[in-house]
Amino acid sequence: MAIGAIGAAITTAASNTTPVVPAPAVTGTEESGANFGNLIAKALDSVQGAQSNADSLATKAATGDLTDVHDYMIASTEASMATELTVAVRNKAVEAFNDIMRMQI
Amino acid sequence: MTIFGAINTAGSGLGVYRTWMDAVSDNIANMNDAVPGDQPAFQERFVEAAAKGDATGVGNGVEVKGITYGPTTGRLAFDPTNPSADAQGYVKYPDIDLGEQMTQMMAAQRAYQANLATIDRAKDAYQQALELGK
Amino acid sequence: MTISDPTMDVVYKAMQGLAARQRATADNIANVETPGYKATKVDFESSLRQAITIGDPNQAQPAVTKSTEPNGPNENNVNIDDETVSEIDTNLKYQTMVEAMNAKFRLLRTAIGN
Repeated sequence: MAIGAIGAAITTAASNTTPVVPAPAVTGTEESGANFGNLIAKALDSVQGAQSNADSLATKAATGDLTDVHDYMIASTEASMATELTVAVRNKAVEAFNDIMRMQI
Repeated sequence: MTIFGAINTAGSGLGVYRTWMDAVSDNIANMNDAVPGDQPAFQERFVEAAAKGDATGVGNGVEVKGITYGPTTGRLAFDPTNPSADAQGYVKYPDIDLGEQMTQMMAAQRAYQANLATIDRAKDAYQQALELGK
Repeated sequence: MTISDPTMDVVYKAMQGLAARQRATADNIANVETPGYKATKVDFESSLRQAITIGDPNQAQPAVTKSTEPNGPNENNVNIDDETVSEIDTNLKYQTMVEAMNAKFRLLRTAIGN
């Protein structure tokens, strides 16, 4: 089940996100930037997968080919939670970016 | 099994038990049909039910395979004054036992109600499933 | 529908077919004692399946036919048990489709940023 994968993504986020260090330590920025970038890419992939799974189960339910209604309900809940997680991560990233831009040099 | 399959399966049971009740009420209604002694009596109706679908695994319910008829022998009663009596004075009545028919009627009624309860419970269960994630 | 993707089109077509089936069932139940009445059946699933395989769900049309079940008394072939079960089944399927549509709109709303 993908809910486990989302939980793993959260713990990965907690361990991978290192504080972004401004200009002087160039390598540090690149590393933490690459980690964060990977995280976002993985999260987007899993959201895409969850959404298309929910879509295909909804189509099966519409044509009467679905065996269990709870399969569709679980997939739809996962897709919705994955989307909300991605949106929350995006919002936090934008907020962090704005905070940094506001910093007095 | 289709989505919400339990409801359709119980629905097939409803059809069969209603046919059974129809057969029993037919038997009771015709219990006292008198015919002359040498003619066939009213035949008791029996409903043959069999499981639908494959012999193994979870099936698709039940269906009526056919209606079979009891013997025509009936029971003879000596009653020369009866307008239906034959030359020897015998009248033939169907060999249907009211007590047995009432027992069957009760069994059919209970089974019909049990299937209705199944449909109700399954509907509640599926509606709970539709609340997932809310 | 102005905002839609293929899945929402399929779900919308299913809702139309299920609503047609509900109307037919109500009609059949109301006419259970009418002499000479033949039950109406609605089948949209086969048309929808074909429309999905050719890629245009909007072409699906529900097929409304008269039932060919054997007649009961009064030349009336409405089977009240079948209609009752169909009513419950169609209702649950309709709720599922409503939930599917809601889920799609919720996703869009989340992405927009509520």
